[in-house]
Amino acid sequence: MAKPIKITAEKCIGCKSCALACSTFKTGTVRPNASGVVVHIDQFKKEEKPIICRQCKQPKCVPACSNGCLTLDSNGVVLVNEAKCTGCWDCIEVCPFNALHRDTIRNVVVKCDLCYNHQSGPRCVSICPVQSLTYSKE
Amino acid sequence: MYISQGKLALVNLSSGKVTITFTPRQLIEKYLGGRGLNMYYLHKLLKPGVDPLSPDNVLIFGAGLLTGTLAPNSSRINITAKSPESGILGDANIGGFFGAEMRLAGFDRLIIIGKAQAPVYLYLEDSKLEIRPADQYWGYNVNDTQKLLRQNLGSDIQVACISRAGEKLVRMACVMTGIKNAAGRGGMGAVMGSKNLKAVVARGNQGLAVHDASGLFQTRLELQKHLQNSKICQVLGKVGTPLLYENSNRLGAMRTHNNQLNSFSDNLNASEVEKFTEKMVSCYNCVVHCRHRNTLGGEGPEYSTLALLGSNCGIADTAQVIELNNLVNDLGLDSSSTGTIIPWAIELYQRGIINHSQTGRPLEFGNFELIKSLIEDLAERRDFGNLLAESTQAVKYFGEQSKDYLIAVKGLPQSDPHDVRYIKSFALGIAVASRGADHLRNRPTLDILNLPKKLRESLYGSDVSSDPTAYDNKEKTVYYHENVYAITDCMGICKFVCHSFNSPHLLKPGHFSTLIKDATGLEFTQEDLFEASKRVIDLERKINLREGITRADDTLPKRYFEDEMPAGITKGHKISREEFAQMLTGYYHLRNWDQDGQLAPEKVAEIEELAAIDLEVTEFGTNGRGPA
Repeated sequence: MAKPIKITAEKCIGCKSCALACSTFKTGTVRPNASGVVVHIDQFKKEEKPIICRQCKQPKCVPACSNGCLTLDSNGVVLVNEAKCTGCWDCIEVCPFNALHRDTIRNVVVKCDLCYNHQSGPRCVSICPVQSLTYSKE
Repeated sequence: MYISQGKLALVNLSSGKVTITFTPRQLIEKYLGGRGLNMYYLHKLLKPGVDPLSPDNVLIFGAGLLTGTLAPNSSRINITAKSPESGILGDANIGGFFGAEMRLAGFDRLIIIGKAQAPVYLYLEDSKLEIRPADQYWGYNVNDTQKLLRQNLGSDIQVACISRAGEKLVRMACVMTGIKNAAGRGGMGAVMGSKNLKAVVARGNQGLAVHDASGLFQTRLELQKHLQNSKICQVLGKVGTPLLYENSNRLGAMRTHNNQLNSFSDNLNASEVEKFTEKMVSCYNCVVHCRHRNTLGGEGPEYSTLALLGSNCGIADTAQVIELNNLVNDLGLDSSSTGTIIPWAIELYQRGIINHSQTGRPLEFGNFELIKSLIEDLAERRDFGNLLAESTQAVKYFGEQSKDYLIAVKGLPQSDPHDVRYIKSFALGIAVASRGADHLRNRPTLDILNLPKKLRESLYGSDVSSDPTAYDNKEKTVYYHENVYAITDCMGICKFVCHSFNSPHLLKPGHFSTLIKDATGLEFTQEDLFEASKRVIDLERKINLREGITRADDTLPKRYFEDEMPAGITKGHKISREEFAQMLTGYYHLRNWDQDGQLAPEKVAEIEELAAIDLEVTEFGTNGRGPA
């Protein structure tokens, strides 16, 4: 079963490269606010905190979606079918980890799908310059 | 939509009118973006001779061609206006997160004229710009202003703001974003203050379209790997720019006590600064992370701040220097100017050129409480600080003789702490830099690396001595580096990852060609980029000539010509006026300027022709949808 991307928050330098890479592919634009990984940065609170879906074994987001937009695939990855998303944001409300995000331009939910269709694995992991994000299939 | 199709907002703060337009493709091809296009609009819209603190000054925030993209270290924008500090072109480059956010909010460039009747801020989101009241933010310094704005508007905004010093028209006031990032040079903060403009706030929900996402991602990964294998990037990520202190100090080229001395305490070595580092953090999209979060509640210091508030003020206690660094950041003061003007005043006092009746108290080097108090007074224009706040223009209060001890060129205090009497190319660089004495315009850093002859020839065209004290052909190094840095400033990429600033092996113009193609679809060859950089530098010269600059202004502080460096390896060195004049003439020749530093008539005609293009265009390129 798929494992989530591991975050070592203390290594994060707050560059947002992960969110830039993710949003570029998820939304077609560089838009770190609408990415599967969102980095909360607050220099005044000394905070650099990436948040990514934990790929829960019993995800609350999937049953919360009444439109069949979210599904748990056979590898244990929660996938988004954007065509079915109505922008009700119920999934976002129920996620205990705040790991689903609004793409307010396209009015669809965005979340980490581990770049399941990308051979080299999650792009956020590839681009992280300090290995704050790591991923292992095993 | 193409990436360079971000909007250009024309904001008249006097009338409240906002016009949204675009930059024509033709101009992007000529001046690229960032600093280049800022200069185009400054030249076009600024009437020569206007008071920089009057509503007639033109203030421009301009993103580089790659700002905000997946290109590595693409955080930077330029803020440009006529400088109230120097009276010539003012231009400051800033990292952090604001510049990218401005672009993600839909704007490539803001051009601001006029003056609001009461304090305002600009709010950018979804390609819309609002002028909003800022009375509740007026009167706060950098940190509190941003905290209040975030409290009221949400923590997902980015802010470029001024401090109380900017409001009070202190001539070295910066535009700041975050805790430490500064558009530091030339008093752009005072220009904002003169327009009653407290801040620009951006919320980047809209995002930035990319021409070839897969190509750009792949290019980014390759370049990132290359950069992270570089030793200089690794060291910068560990200790930041203070790494330069020890080398300059050992050489005996550390500006100390207003350049009366040339070496100082080892307490300011990077290894000592590191003891106060809580964590290294980064700007937007940075692969280096050279910014310290220090244990004393701020960020930094950079090398320039460390030395100019340290050695140049005579403060040897590491913690005290970091405290001063944190102070100038919150007060929104340019540390280079502050760390030059205060030591200048101290020397003037010690020489009896200014006296107690002006200063109100004795001035001395090495007195932390005094220096701290002078900085606070300067920022508030209080007592003697009101004269210090005039920066180099305080000459009119201190008397003509005071000029002899002022370490400035064209009215701008020298930016970096390196005493340039030893390395002759550095001396020419600060003398000809278009914004005044500044290393970030053209410093030929590679001149001290003893590069192999073959590499020197490939960079500079013909044999240039590796001896830093030699004058022969050194204008070629300044010319080359100036061109490269102009390209970098037009891209919006940090110089720390670019070729020729710290290393010959980092991102070169050829890499920019690939990144631009991936990001925007626009095609520029390496040669196109170099031609554009020369065009930008010509344009900057024209702006300065229009403000009355002549060959006589392309010079150095008197001390660099007349006083020998007092100690160490550099002992006895100064700049020969004759050899300097030859280098300057050689530099003009390379630029195709005449012996008086005037542009060739055909260049003037080309600039004038481009300046005649309509300001308000409704479409980008030929069809309004992108490059044809």
